[in-house]
Amino acid sequence: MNLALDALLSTVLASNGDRQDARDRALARAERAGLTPRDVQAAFDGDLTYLSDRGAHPLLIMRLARDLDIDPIAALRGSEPRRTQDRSSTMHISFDVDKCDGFASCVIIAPELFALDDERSVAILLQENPSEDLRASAEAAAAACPMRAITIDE
Amino acid sequence: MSRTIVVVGASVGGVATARALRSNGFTGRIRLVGDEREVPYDKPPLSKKFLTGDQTESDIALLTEQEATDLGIELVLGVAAAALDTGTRVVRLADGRDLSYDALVIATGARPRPAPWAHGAGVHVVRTLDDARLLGSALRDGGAVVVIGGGFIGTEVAATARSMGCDVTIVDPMPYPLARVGDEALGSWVREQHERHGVRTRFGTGVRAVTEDGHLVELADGSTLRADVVVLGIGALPNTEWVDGSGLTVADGIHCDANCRAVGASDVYAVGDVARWFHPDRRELVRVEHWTNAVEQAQCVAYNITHPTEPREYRPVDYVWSDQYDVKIQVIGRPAAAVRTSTAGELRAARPRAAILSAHDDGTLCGAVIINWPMGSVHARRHLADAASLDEALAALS
Repeated sequence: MNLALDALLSTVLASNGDRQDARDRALARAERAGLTPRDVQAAFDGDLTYLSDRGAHPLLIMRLARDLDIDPIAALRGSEPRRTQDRSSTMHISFDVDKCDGFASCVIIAPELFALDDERSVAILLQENPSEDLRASAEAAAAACPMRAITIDE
Repeated sequence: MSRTIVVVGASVGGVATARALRSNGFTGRIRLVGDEREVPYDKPPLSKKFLTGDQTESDIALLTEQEATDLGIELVLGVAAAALDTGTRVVRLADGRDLSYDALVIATGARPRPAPWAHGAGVHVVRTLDDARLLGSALRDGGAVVVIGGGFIGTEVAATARSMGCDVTIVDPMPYPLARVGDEALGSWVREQHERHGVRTRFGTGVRAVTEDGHLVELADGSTLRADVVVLGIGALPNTEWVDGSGLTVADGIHCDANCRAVGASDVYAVGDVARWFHPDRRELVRVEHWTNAVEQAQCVAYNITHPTEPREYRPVDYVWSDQYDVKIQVIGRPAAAVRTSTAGELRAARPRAAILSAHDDGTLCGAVIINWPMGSVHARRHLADAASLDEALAALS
């Protein structure tokens, strides 16, 4: 998991249009965000293997591949599959995207669990079975959703 | 020995507290007291989809009887709390029953502010499910609707009534709507939205009286408006009378410290519209009447009750939203405190999508108003939490 990199990828995905300008701004802020210039370069160039190795979220990598018209299977062939879900966790998050109305409070409260799909203006659940240490975040995100689109099952 | 927590008030803040106590691992007894007979319900839909009939009671239930049973929350409904004895730790109910507590959470909310001028019967308010049922049925009959108050409730009811085909007029003595939360840029834009949808607006004019059983609204400038339905939305007053004489400090809400603990008693907390707590960042007593505040404050109080040796201070970034027509307005922080504003995005497009960012005189972001722009809202909330400058936030949004 690499939250700073995921945040960067979300920005890249949102910056349809002037990518050069977005890249310059991202580079200027990379250090403060805990990223290297190489991270920024890879995000804008679509270096999927590098991003995967650095712990970027697979869903964001797939979306980046789609945006940049890269075949993700070919690009990632040979790299290790990453484990994103904690099998020992008993927590299960359900997210009803049809109820989501783009408040994005979950994205603010639990960035490890939710990202924003800027195009469709709805949240994306990043992990259905997160580890136990994220339970408080998950419960707080569920409580703060005005549409009650998030439920936590044991 | 098992502890008992009594939560008085079974609306947004009370239910959120009871749920959060369980999330935080509290295994003792929880008793949730509410003065209405209804199963606890959510409030925001009352001025929107519940009013139109697009949502029913079951759609807006906050806690069903089954969920309460599953969570081990005892519902004590249809009876108000009448008095509090903080010495013996007892809440006396209106029917004479006494409930003992080890910790008490006050979540009795607020009631509509009464009009400062005369009016007879026939004036609607929107606070409870019953209010919304009555108003919804009146709006379905159609006709001329006069909404008094251009705040969130007033503008939402106006938009809803208009969408139901009513002939709507908004009246408010302020020069533009949402004047308590936003500046003129937001206010005049919101006013345009209403006028574009055919709502008449009478801003800058107060009401002198409502007469003829709610069928004639007399304005301060001497003019009159005929009405089939009059709706009043001019703010709310905290429900604190029941704790009078308990030793708690009450002044426009239950006075609490930064941990949301009531001043004047131990093991008493307050959440939501009724709580007036010391905000550690703003260094002043603050009372907030918004949904998100009730929910977040409930999380803080539940945490503090279950973690007594490591209490958290409650320092939220204000957040409130409003849905009107096809527009979602999100107000973050305190834009009204601004000396400088900048707008990103397009406010006056066919499909508006914009962020009005506000800053203190040192350039630090103090608030934002977001129109139809979830990513804008995420950026604004993160930048506000980081105490970033307006320029940084603007760069992230452009």
